[in-house]
Amino acid sequence: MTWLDTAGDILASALEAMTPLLLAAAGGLFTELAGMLNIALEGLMLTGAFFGFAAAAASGSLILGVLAGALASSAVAWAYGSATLRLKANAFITGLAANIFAPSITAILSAVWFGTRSVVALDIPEPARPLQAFFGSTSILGRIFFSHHSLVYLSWVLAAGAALLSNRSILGTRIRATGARAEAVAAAGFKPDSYKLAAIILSGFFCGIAGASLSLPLGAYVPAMSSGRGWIALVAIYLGNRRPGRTALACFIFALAESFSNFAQGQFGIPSEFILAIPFAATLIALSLGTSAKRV
Amino acid sequence: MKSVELEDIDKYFPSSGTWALIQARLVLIPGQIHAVVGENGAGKTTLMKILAGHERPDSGRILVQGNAVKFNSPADAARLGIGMVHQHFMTIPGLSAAQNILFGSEPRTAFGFLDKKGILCTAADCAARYGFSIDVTKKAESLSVGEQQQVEILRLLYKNCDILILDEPTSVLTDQEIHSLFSVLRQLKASGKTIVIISHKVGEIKKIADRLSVMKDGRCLGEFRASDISSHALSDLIMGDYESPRKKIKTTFPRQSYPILEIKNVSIHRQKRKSNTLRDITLSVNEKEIIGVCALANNGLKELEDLLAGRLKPDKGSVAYLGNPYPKLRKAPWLPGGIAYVPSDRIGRGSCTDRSVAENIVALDRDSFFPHGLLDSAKAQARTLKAIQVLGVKARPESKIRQLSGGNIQKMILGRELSEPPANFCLLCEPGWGLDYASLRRTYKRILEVRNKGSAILLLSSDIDEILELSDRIVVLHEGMIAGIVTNGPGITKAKLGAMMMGLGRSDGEPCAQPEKLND
Amino acid sequence: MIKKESGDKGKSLIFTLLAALISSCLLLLFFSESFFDSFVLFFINPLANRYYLGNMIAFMAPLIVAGLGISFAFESHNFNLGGEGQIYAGSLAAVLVAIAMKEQSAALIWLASFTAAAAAGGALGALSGFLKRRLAVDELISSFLVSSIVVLVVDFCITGPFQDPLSNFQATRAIPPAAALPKILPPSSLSTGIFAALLAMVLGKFILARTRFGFELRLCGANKDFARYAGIDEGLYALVPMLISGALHGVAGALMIFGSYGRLLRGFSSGVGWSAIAVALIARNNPLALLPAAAFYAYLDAGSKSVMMGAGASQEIVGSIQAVIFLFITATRLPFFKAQTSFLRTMLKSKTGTKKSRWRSQ
Repeated sequence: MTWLDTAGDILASALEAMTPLLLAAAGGLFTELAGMLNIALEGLMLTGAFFGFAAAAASGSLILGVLAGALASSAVAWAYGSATLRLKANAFITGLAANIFAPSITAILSAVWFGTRSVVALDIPEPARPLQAFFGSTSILGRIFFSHHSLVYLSWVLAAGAALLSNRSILGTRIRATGARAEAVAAAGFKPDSYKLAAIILSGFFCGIAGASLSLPLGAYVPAMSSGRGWIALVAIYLGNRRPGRTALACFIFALAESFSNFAQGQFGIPSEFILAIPFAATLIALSLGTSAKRV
Repeated sequence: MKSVELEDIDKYFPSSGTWALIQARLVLIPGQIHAVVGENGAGKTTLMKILAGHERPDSGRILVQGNAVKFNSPADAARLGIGMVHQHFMTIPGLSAAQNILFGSEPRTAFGFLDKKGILCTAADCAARYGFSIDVTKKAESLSVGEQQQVEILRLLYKNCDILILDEPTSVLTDQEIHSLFSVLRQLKASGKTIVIISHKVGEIKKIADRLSVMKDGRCLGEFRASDISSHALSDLIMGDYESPRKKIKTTFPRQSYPILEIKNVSIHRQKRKSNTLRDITLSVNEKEIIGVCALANNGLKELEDLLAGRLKPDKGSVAYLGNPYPKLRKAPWLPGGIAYVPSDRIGRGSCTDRSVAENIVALDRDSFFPHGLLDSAKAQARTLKAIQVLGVKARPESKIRQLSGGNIQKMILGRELSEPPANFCLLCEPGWGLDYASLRRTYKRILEVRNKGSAILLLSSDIDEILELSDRIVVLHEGMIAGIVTNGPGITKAKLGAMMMGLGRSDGEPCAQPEKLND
Repeated sequence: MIKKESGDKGKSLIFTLLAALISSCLLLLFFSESFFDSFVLFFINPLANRYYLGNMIAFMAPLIVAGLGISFAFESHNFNLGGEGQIYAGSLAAVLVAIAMKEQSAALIWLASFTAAAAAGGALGALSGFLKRRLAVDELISSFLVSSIVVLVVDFCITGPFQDPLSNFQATRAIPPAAALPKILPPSSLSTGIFAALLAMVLGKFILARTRFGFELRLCGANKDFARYAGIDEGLYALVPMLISGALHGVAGALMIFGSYGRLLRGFSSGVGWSAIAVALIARNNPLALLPAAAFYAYLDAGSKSVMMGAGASQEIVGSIQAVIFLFITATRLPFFKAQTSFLRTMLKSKTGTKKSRWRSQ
């Protein structure tokens, strides 16, 4: 194995690792544009991961799994958004509620449905690798870009869609305007809170799919499998200065760090705890160096 | 063309405990430019906000074409063709000028996406039709103040508003911009729009308005044809007939007492706006002297306040207080080396609304009131009562600030800052805000007393009357620079200061070069 | 950040506690075979049984101390989401110091261990405060990230270098038996630690309510701009409360070690940091109210432990109830309680005579 192959493998696994980050960041982008700090991304992802997996296991269909993950997560987002906006509760505390609710309710349901509170591995269909047949996996470029499962490509399409939605659509414009100048939106005869709620539900939708993209390719649900990715996505949005392209780049860099540390673990036998800590550490360092003074 | 009448409008603000409007009435004649004039706080803006659906009246009727209507939101008013441009513009950053103009009813393509081309074309058409010369592709955050105003007006025109209300439209504009605004307004009038201008500037009103309504203390004093009333008569009506008590209180002091506060060549550069917010300010405030600083909005008054509040660091130059560098953290006014500071933001900065009156006073001087780290209640109580008594705050020491009316909060702050013994230096920003007439007189009297005891006072105010009444010397800021320093006296008039504030005349104690330009 | 609105303050508290109880019942209804049996187990058993009662009160000690830490942070308008890591790190520091000092007297061990725990937790809190002050990094995110890293590092320490070679558990060696806090209600784990917690609570109340430090801290929390205006160095109050908050979390961890566990088990304190936030929110940052708040919370916790003995899902039941508490506790506008204010306005209007102010308009 040459160093070129190794680098190719790291890049390929980085693209795979980027999938949940990219989707969560796409979701978080909407709440961020609407002027809210959405710390619930983590819990929303976990909800999506569990319900996506459960639905896929029950129906045997990945598509239903993805949809169920998105819906369940949107529902939790709706509850979180309603408490925040309708009851005028503190957004951080309600966000915390979502983050604590997700692991609890999934563990309880997991115990009831699957008889275990820890890892659930079931025989669900493996996602297809749609481009592998056409472009082959022999060349390095083929392996980096065309060997992935369908959820990776779905995430690219959805991320592009989110960028389009936020920049070009009426809804996106309203959400942006709400974040930039809510009183102007109200003066134009709209309800800023409705657009905030819409942004929160959109973030739930995308995070749900992000969660499903964790559990479905793995064929298993692991408690706390989102492992901080919601927070990392949040930081990626800051580093990307709320621009879709730059945010995607930040996601890629974090994913690269993740896949590199996985590689390092295999290579140098670093304890798994440290490997798990690397994304948090990278995020903290990036946040400290990158976003100082950007957040107002 | 619609006729509009406001009948017997009352409006009470519980938060400040004041009647903003008492039986206010107004008739708008279609196709004319109508000015609503009066002092700061006469109720002009409130009345117009009610007409535009931003506020609801407590009682009274709004008649459009003779039919009584109720507005629950600005959108209701807009449906009947009534729209308002606020003093603080509501352009949305991040969107283009065109998107701002069409916001709420953009042309769209399939699936709810924006028709970017359509938006640009429609907005450009709309601008061209009414004679505006604005580049609609620019982002809102890069528009000049005048352009933002154009966007706001176009926004209303696009919604087919035929009654346009402009709140103090000239206060933030340069002379050139005022000129082009007025020509636009005349053009709009010619195309049949009804325009209402809220203003307190007599000269401008006489130039542009067809009809005038004069408001004072929440009431409408009357309506006039602009050609029927002279500037002087109008000015008297607006000001009322009370005589300035300054002439009675004023005493002369030997000049050339030593300087307490020295600002030397201070510039503050704000990178985002790419313009100096303060440029090369040199100013010294001597003991027993009140220097009044006045300026139009966005011309450096706020930055000067923040500089002396320690919020903005000078990029160039220095500030010295009693010969030492200006302190980073303020000491309580009654302590040696202390500073009295009445901020323009009395809720956000000048008081803590969740805390009691006593705590708001104790907060300034923890050294004295927490002698061994613990609160000395008796001492705190004594100081609190002293501060309350200065201007007669109607509250108990243990009342929460949030329970006080706006005027009472201002009195608490003034009392705290101006209680005995007075500080060597007092920074007073808009001290008269929210005060009723009697309190205002007591406040002015107290300020002059403090001056006579030897304090150096810097008075920052956008209210020219206040400046004229209190100041020994007057400094005018224009675009962050000192446009002139004059010694207050009989020759100094509002018109002269007004001209200087707009950058028309420079003066160094001499009368302005073209003082009458705006008042013709 | 935790804004207190005067009107609905009490209402949202009652509403939240009711919602918490109702959701507990719903969970029981859904996930147990016999609702009645579970109901008795959940609500009666913790009080009827000496063992459960003792454990319940024992659990209040770390909740009160960590809740006090949260109150210090919240009162100064800092958001400490790093409690989990701070407790865990404090526990590790306490255990290591106690093991290293096993020849010493108990009092000396306590002194050194609790100091070490406070230092470890405090350092983590202070790190977030420092990042906020120096680099304007949101302390909410940074404290969470730091805590996530620390939890993993402590996990590694427990299973790696400090693993007890004689134990089958993933745990460190035990502290010297003599250094364990005296038990009060054996066989439960209730120890004298609860008195230390109550002492800390009263001391915390005193500091916040009466001292200059507490006054300045609360002022910075209520209105930073005003605090600065009054001449207080508000940057200091981004750092020091976070340090105190972290230190108290560390002490809470040490209390659990010395009071109940005797050694550091992997994941033993998981969830306590979040629970402390819930307790502090129920107490509305008033230290003396931490006692009833912690009692209520520990009661729900004991109930779910009692009902879930077999299934082992008590942690998750508590988590769900906690989520319900978080969802409603800060609500300032509740749909069921509509305030009537127009009447007041009419009253005021009849008292004319106030002259117009110059405030509102313009």
